[in-house]
Amino acid sequence: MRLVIVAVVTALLSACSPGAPPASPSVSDSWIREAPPGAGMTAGYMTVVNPTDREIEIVGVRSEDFGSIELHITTTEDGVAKMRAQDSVTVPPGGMVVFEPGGRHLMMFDPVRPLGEGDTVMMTVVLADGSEITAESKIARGAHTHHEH
Amino acid sequence: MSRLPRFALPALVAVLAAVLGAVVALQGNRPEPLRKALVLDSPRPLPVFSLTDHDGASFDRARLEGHWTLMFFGFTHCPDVCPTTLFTLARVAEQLGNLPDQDRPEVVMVSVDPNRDTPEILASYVAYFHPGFVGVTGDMPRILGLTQAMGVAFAYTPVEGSEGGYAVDHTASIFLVDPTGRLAAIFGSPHVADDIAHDYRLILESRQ
Ligand SMILES: [Cu+2]
Repeated sequence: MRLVIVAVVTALLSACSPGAPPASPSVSDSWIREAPPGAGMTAGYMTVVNPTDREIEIVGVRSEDFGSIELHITTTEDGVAKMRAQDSVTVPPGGMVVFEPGGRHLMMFDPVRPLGEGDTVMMTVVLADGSEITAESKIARGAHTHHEH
Repeated sequence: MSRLPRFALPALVAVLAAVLGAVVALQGNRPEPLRKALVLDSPRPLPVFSLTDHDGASFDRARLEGHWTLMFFGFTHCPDVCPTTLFTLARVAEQLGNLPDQDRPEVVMVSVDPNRDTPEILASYVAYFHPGFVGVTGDMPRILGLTQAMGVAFAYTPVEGSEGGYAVDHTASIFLVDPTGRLAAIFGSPHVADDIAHDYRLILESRQ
Protein backbone atom coordinates (compact mmCIF):
# COMPACT_ATOMS: atom_id res chain seq x y z
CA MET A 1 0.00 0.00 0.00
CA ARG A 2 2.67 2.43 1.08
CA LEU A 3 4.65 1.61 -2.01
CA VAL A 4 1.73 2.44 -4.23
CA ILE A 5 1.28 5.85 -2.57
CA VAL A 6 4.96 6.62 -2.96
CA ALA A 7 4.78 5.65 -6.57
CA VAL A 8 1.78 7.90 -7.20
CA VAL A 9 3.37 10.85 -5.43
CA THR A 10 6.57 10.37 -7.38
CA ALA A 11 4.65 10.23 -10.62
CA LEU A 12 2.78 13.44 -9.74
CA LEU A 13 5.98 15.21 -8.77
CA SER A 14 7.75 14.23 -11.94
CA ALA A 15 4.77 15.33 -14.03
CA CYS A 16 4.98 18.79 -12.49
CA SER A 17 8.73 19.23 -12.61
CA PRO A 18 11.05 20.64 -13.72
CA GLY A 19 11.32 24.22 -12.49
CA ALA A 20 8.73 26.37 -10.73
CA PRO A 21 5.21 25.00 -10.39
CA PRO A 22 3.31 26.06 -13.52
CA ALA A 23 0.94 28.97 -12.94
CA SER A 24 -2.66 28.23 -13.85
CA PRO A 25 -5.48 30.51 -15.05
CA SER A 26 -7.07 32.58 -12.30
CA VAL A 27 -10.04 34.84 -11.65
CA SER A 28 -9.61 38.07 -9.67
CA ASP A 29 -11.49 41.30 -8.88
CA SER A 30 -14.81 39.57 -9.27
CA TRP A 31 -17.93 41.34 -8.01
CA ILE A 32 -21.64 41.27 -8.71
CA ARG A 33 -23.77 44.37 -8.85
CA GLU A 34 -26.48 44.48 -6.22
CA ALA A 35 -29.68 44.47 -8.29
CA PRO A 36 -31.43 47.84 -7.99
CA PRO A 37 -35.08 47.53 -6.91
CA GLY A 38 -37.22 46.34 -9.81
CA ALA A 39 -34.26 45.36 -11.98
CA GLY A 40 -34.79 41.58 -11.77
CA MET A 41 -31.45 40.66 -13.30
CA THR A 42 -27.99 41.95 -12.65
CA ALA A 43 -24.42 41.87 -13.95
CA GLY A 44 -21.19 40.40 -12.64
CA TYR A 45 -17.62 41.42 -13.41
CA MET A 46 -14.18 39.82 -13.12
CA THR A 47 -10.67 39.64 -14.54
CA VAL A 48 -9.49 36.31 -15.96
CA VAL A 49 -5.71 35.96 -16.19
CA ASN A 50 -4.08 33.29 -18.31
CA PRO A 51 -0.39 32.85 -17.40
CA THR A 52 -0.08 29.64 -19.42
CA ASP A 53 1.40 29.38 -22.90
CA ARG A 54 -1.87 28.17 -24.42
CA GLU A 55 -5.04 30.09 -25.03
CA ILE A 56 -7.95 29.24 -22.79
CA GLU A 57 -11.62 29.45 -23.65
CA ILE A 58 -14.29 30.37 -21.11
CA VAL A 59 -17.43 28.48 -22.07
CA GLY A 60 -19.64 29.12 -19.09
CA VAL A 61 -20.09 30.33 -15.54
CA ARG A 62 -22.36 28.85 -12.91
CA SER A 63 -23.32 29.56 -9.33
CA GLU A 64 -25.68 27.90 -6.90
CA ASP A 65 -27.02 31.36 -6.14
CA PHE A 66 -28.31 32.09 -9.64
CA GLY A 67 -30.67 30.23 -11.96
CA SER A 68 -28.40 30.87 -14.92
CA ILE A 69 -25.42 32.98 -15.91
CA GLU A 70 -24.51 34.06 -19.46
CA LEU A 71 -21.41 35.59 -20.99
CA HIS A 72 -22.44 38.99 -22.37
CA ILE A 73 -20.86 41.98 -24.00
CA THR A 74 -22.12 45.53 -24.32
CA THR A 75 -20.98 47.32 -27.44
CA THR A 76 -21.79 50.84 -28.53
CA GLU A 77 -22.37 51.54 -32.22
CA ASP A 78 -23.43 54.99 -33.42
CA GLY A 79 -24.11 55.91 -29.82
CA VAL A 80 -26.49 52.96 -29.33
CA ALA A 81 -25.54 50.51 -26.55
CA LYS A 82 -26.34 46.88 -27.36
CA MET A 83 -26.00 43.87 -25.12
CA ARG A 84 -25.39 40.46 -26.69
CA ALA A 85 -24.75 36.94 -25.42
CA GLN A 86 -21.48 35.22 -26.39
CA ASP A 87 -20.95 31.46 -26.52
CA SER A 88 -17.38 31.70 -25.29
CA VAL A 89 -14.61 34.12 -24.47
CA THR A 90 -10.98 33.40 -25.35
CA VAL A 91 -8.10 34.52 -23.13
CA PRO A 92 -4.79 34.61 -25.05
CA PRO A 93 -1.63 32.94 -23.69
CA GLY A 94 0.04 35.24 -21.19
CA GLY A 95 -2.91 37.61 -21.41
CA MET A 96 -6.09 38.55 -19.62
CA VAL A 97 -9.68 39.46 -20.29
CA VAL A 98 -11.44 42.08 -18.18
CA PHE A 99 -15.18 41.99 -17.59
CA GLU A 100 -16.14 45.54 -16.56
CA PRO A 101 -19.13 47.90 -16.54
CA GLY A 102 -20.08 48.98 -20.05
CA GLY A 103 -18.21 46.07 -21.67
CA ARG A 104 -17.99 42.35 -21.11
CA HIS A 105 -20.12 41.17 -18.23
CA LEU A 106 -21.74 38.13 -16.72
CA MET A 107 -25.50 38.31 -16.99
CA MET A 108 -26.91 36.86 -13.78
CA PHE A 109 -30.49 35.61 -13.93
CA ASP A 110 -32.91 34.46 -11.24
CA PRO A 111 -31.09 34.83 -7.90
CA VAL A 112 -32.25 32.06 -5.59
CA ARG A 113 -31.88 34.18 -2.45
CA PRO A 114 -31.94 37.92 -1.73
CA LEU A 115 -28.45 39.31 -2.27
CA GLY A 116 -27.36 42.63 -0.85
CA GLU A 117 -24.14 44.59 -0.60
CA GLY A 118 -21.53 42.70 1.40
CA ASP A 119 -22.91 39.23 0.64
CA THR A 120 -20.61 36.78 -1.09
CA VAL A 121 -21.37 34.34 -3.86
CA MET A 122 -19.27 31.44 -5.10
CA MET A 123 -18.94 31.27 -8.89
CA THR A 124 -17.40 28.58 -11.04
CA VAL A 125 -15.85 29.56 -14.35
CA VAL A 126 -15.85 26.64 -16.78
CA LEU A 127 -13.17 26.30 -19.48
CA ALA A 128 -13.42 24.47 -22.79
CA ASP A 129 -10.96 21.77 -21.65
CA GLY A 130 -13.31 20.89 -18.82
CA SER A 131 -11.28 22.52 -16.07
CA GLU A 132 -12.92 24.94 -13.68
CA ILE A 133 -11.88 27.99 -11.70
CA THR A 134 -13.75 28.84 -8.53
CA ALA A 135 -14.01 32.46 -7.45
CA GLU A 136 -15.63 34.26 -4.56
CA SER A 137 -17.58 37.35 -5.62
CA LYS A 138 -18.71 40.18 -3.38
CA ILE A 139 -22.07 41.80 -3.96
CA ALA A 140 -21.50 45.55 -4.30
CA ARG A 141 -23.62 48.55 -5.19
CA GLY A 142 -21.03 49.38 -7.80
CA ALA A 143 -21.02 53.12 -7.23
CA HIS A 144 -17.44 53.20 -8.45
CA THR A 145 -15.54 51.36 -11.13
CA HIS A 146 -11.91 50.40 -11.01
CA HIS A 147 -11.14 52.10 -14.27
CA GLU A 148 -12.55 55.54 -13.75
CA HIS A 149 -10.27 58.11 -12.17
CA MET B 1 34.35 84.18 -14.06
CA SER B 2 33.83 87.83 -13.11
CA ARG B 3 31.49 88.74 -10.29
CA LEU B 4 28.07 89.95 -11.27
CA PRO B 5 27.15 93.50 -10.32
CA ARG B 6 25.30 93.60 -7.00
CA PHE B 7 21.93 94.49 -8.61
CA ALA B 8 22.09 91.74 -11.26
CA LEU B 9 20.41 88.98 -9.28
CA PRO B 10 17.40 90.98 -8.06
CA ALA B 11 16.96 92.32 -11.60
CA LEU B 12 17.02 88.81 -13.03
CA VAL B 13 14.46 87.62 -10.48
CA ALA B 14 12.22 90.58 -11.34
CA VAL B 15 12.41 89.83 -15.06
CA LEU B 16 11.65 86.15 -14.49
CA ALA B 17 8.70 86.98 -12.28
CA ALA B 18 7.32 89.34 -14.94
CA VAL B 19 7.65 86.68 -17.64
CA LEU B 20 6.03 84.03 -15.46
CA GLY B 21 3.23 86.40 -14.59
CA ALA B 22 2.59 87.10 -18.26
CA VAL B 23 2.50 83.37 -19.07
CA VAL B 24 0.06 82.66 -16.25
CA ALA B 25 -2.15 85.57 -17.33
CA LEU B 26 -2.18 84.36 -20.93
CA GLN B 27 -3.19 80.87 -19.91
CA GLY B 28 -5.91 82.28 -17.70
CA ASN B 29 -7.40 84.09 -20.69
CA ARG B 30 -7.43 81.10 -22.95
CA PRO B 31 -10.86 79.43 -22.81
CA GLU B 32 -10.63 76.01 -21.24
CA PRO B 33 -11.59 73.31 -23.74
CA LEU B 34 -14.60 71.05 -23.27
CA ARG B 35 -13.60 67.44 -22.57
CA LYS B 36 -16.59 65.58 -23.86
CA ALA B 37 -19.69 67.66 -24.50
CA LEU B 38 -20.84 68.26 -28.03
CA VAL B 39 -22.45 71.68 -27.81
CA LEU B 40 -25.13 72.46 -30.41
CA ASP B 41 -24.33 75.63 -32.38
CA SER B 42 -27.91 76.70 -31.90
CA PRO B 43 -29.86 74.99 -29.11
CA ARG B 44 -32.81 73.01 -30.43
CA PRO B 45 -36.22 73.45 -28.77
CA LEU B 46 -37.77 70.17 -27.65
CA PRO B 47 -41.23 69.39 -28.99
CA VAL B 48 -44.33 69.57 -26.84
CA PHE B 49 -44.59 66.26 -25.01
CA SER B 50 -46.75 64.82 -22.26
CA LEU B 51 -45.33 62.07 -20.05
CA THR B 52 -45.65 60.94 -16.42
CA ASP B 53 -43.07 61.20 -13.65
CA HIS B 54 -42.40 58.52 -11.03
CA ASP B 55 -44.93 60.11 -8.67
CA GLY B 56 -47.63 59.82 -11.31
CA ALA B 57 -47.62 63.59 -11.97
CA SER B 58 -47.58 65.06 -15.45
CA PHE B 59 -44.12 65.57 -16.91
CA ASP B 60 -44.19 67.96 -19.86
CA ARG B 61 -41.93 70.56 -21.40
CA ALA B 62 -42.85 73.11 -18.74
CA ARG B 63 -41.20 70.81 -16.18
CA LEU B 64 -37.86 71.42 -17.89
CA GLU B 65 -38.05 75.20 -17.57
CA GLY B 66 -36.17 77.28 -15.04
CA HIS B 67 -33.30 74.83 -14.49
CA TRP B 68 -30.84 72.70 -16.44
CA THR B 69 -31.61 69.03 -17.03
CA LEU B 70 -29.35 66.04 -17.66
CA MET B 71 -31.56 63.57 -19.51
CA PHE B 72 -30.82 59.91 -20.06
CA PHE B 73 -32.85 57.17 -21.76
CA GLY B 74 -32.85 53.68 -20.27
CA PHE B 75 -34.87 50.90 -18.66
CA THR B 76 -34.94 49.26 -15.25
CA HIS B 77 -34.26 45.71 -16.52
CA CYS B 78 -30.90 46.93 -17.82
CA PRO B 79 -28.13 45.21 -15.85
CA ASP B 80 -25.00 46.91 -17.16
CA VAL B 81 -25.23 50.25 -18.95
CA CYS B 82 -28.09 51.91 -17.06
CA PRO B 83 -26.89 51.36 -13.48
CA THR B 84 -23.38 52.38 -14.52
CA THR B 85 -24.69 55.61 -16.08
CA LEU B 86 -26.96 56.41 -13.14
CA PHE B 87 -24.12 55.96 -10.64
CA THR B 88 -22.02 58.25 -12.83
CA LEU B 89 -24.81 60.82 -12.87
CA ALA B 90 -25.09 60.54 -9.07
CA ARG B 91 -21.40 61.45 -8.87
CA VAL B 92 -21.96 64.35 -11.27
CA ALA B 93 -24.77 65.63 -9.02
CA GLU B 94 -22.47 65.31 -6.01
CA GLN B 95 -19.66 67.19 -7.76
CA LEU B 96 -22.03 69.99 -8.76
CA GLY B 97 -23.50 70.17 -5.25
CA ASN B 98 -21.64 73.40 -4.45
CA LEU B 99 -23.43 75.33 -7.20
CA PRO B 100 -26.33 77.59 -6.24
CA ASP B 101 -29.68 75.77 -6.24
CA GLN B 102 -30.91 77.18 -9.54
CA ASP B 103 -27.68 76.22 -11.33
CA ARG B 104 -27.74 72.54 -10.34
CA PRO B 105 -29.07 70.19 -12.99
CA GLU B 106 -32.05 67.95 -12.50
CA VAL B 107 -31.29 64.38 -13.56
CA VAL B 108 -34.10 62.67 -15.50
CA MET B 109 -34.22 59.08 -16.73
CA VAL B 110 -36.82 58.54 -19.45
CA SER B 111 -37.86 54.90 -19.83
CA VAL B 112 -37.65 53.30 -23.26
CA ASP B 113 -39.47 50.27 -21.80
CA PRO B 114 -42.76 51.80 -20.64
CA ASN B 115 -44.58 48.45 -20.61
CA ARG B 116 -42.45 47.23 -17.73
CA ASP B 117 -41.45 50.57 -16.22
CA THR B 118 -44.48 51.84 -14.36
CA PRO B 119 -44.19 55.03 -12.29
CA GLU B 120 -44.12 52.86 -9.12
CA ILE B 121 -41.22 50.76 -10.37
CA LEU B 122 -39.33 53.84 -11.53
CA ALA B 123 -39.87 55.53 -8.17
CA SER B 124 -37.88 52.93 -6.22
CA TYR B 125 -35.41 52.45 -9.07
CA VAL B 126 -34.21 56.04 -9.56
CA ALA B 127 -34.23 56.76 -5.81
CA TYR B 128 -31.78 53.88 -5.34
CA PHE B 129 -29.17 55.94 -7.18
CA HIS B 130 -30.01 59.43 -5.91
CA PRO B 131 -32.98 60.79 -3.94
CA GLY B 132 -33.31 63.74 -6.34
CA PHE B 133 -33.45 61.77 -9.59
CA VAL B 134 -36.65 61.80 -11.61
CA GLY B 135 -37.98 58.77 -13.52
CA VAL B 136 -40.28 59.42 -16.47
CA THR B 137 -42.51 57.06 -18.41
CA GLY B 138 -45.65 57.15 -20.53
CA ASP B 139 -47.33 55.24 -23.30
CA MET B 140 -45.21 54.24 -26.26
CA PRO B 141 -46.41 56.82 -28.82
CA ARG B 142 -45.66 59.62 -26.37
CA ILE B 143 -42.22 58.21 -25.54
CA LEU B 144 -41.54 57.99 -29.27
CA GLY B 145 -42.59 61.62 -29.71
CA LEU B 146 -39.76 62.69 -27.43
CA THR B 147 -37.10 60.18 -28.46
CA GLN B 148 -37.53 60.85 -32.18
CA ALA B 149 -37.26 64.59 -31.66
CA MET B 150 -34.04 64.09 -29.68
CA GLY B 151 -32.49 61.62 -32.09
CA VAL B 152 -32.67 58.79 -29.55
CA ALA B 153 -32.91 55.29 -31.04
CA PHE B 154 -34.06 52.14 -29.32
CA ALA B 155 -34.97 48.58 -30.32
CA TYR B 156 -36.06 45.46 -28.47
CA THR B 157 -34.00 42.25 -28.60
CA PRO B 158 -34.77 38.93 -26.92
CA VAL B 159 -32.60 37.80 -24.01
CA GLU B 160 -31.95 34.06 -24.10
CA GLY B 161 -31.45 33.42 -20.41
CA SER B 162 -34.88 34.55 -19.29
CA GLU B 163 -38.19 33.32 -20.58
CA GLY B 164 -39.94 35.94 -22.69
CA GLY B 165 -37.25 38.35 -21.56
CA TYR B 166 -35.92 41.12 -23.71
CA ALA B 167 -33.36 43.86 -23.50
CA VAL B 168 -33.53 47.26 -25.10
CA ASP B 169 -30.73 48.50 -27.32
CA HIS B 170 -30.77 52.24 -26.78
CA THR B 171 -28.87 55.45 -27.30
CA ALA B 172 -26.49 55.72 -24.36
CA SER B 173 -25.77 59.45 -24.64
CA ILE B 174 -26.66 61.96 -21.93
CA PHE B 175 -28.54 65.05 -23.13
CA LEU B 176 -28.22 68.50 -21.60
CA VAL B 177 -31.41 70.56 -21.80
CA ASP B 178 -31.20 74.28 -21.01
CA PRO B 179 -33.59 76.20 -18.71
CA THR B 180 -35.80 77.19 -21.65
CA GLY B 181 -36.35 73.55 -22.67
CA ARG B 182 -33.89 73.47 -25.55
CA LEU B 183 -31.39 70.70 -26.22
CA ALA B 184 -28.04 72.41 -25.59
CA ALA B 185 -25.40 69.66 -25.60
CA ILE B 186 -24.87 65.91 -25.88
CA PHE B 187 -22.40 63.76 -23.91
CA GLY B 188 -21.44 60.58 -25.76
CA SER B 189 -20.53 57.42 -23.86
CA PRO B 190 -18.47 56.15 -22.11
CA HIS B 191 -19.46 58.56 -19.37
CA VAL B 192 -16.94 59.93 -16.88
CA ALA B 193 -18.35 61.96 -13.99
CA ASP B 194 -15.39 64.37 -13.79
CA ASP B 195 -15.69 65.23 -17.48
CA ILE B 196 -19.44 65.77 -17.41
CA ALA B 197 -19.26 67.97 -14.30
CA HIS B 198 -16.33 69.91 -15.77
CA ASP B 199 -18.08 70.57 -19.08
CA TYR B 200 -21.36 71.38 -17.36
CA ARG B 201 -19.67 74.19 -15.41
CA LEU B 202 -18.06 75.57 -18.56
CA ILE B 203 -21.35 75.52 -20.48
CA LEU B 204 -23.08 77.18 -17.54
CA GLU B 205 -20.44 79.93 -17.46
CA SER B 206 -20.67 80.47 -21.20
CA ARG B 207 -24.39 81.14 -20.83
CA GLN B 208 -24.02 83.72 -18.05
CU1 LIG C 1 -26.13 41.51 -20.29
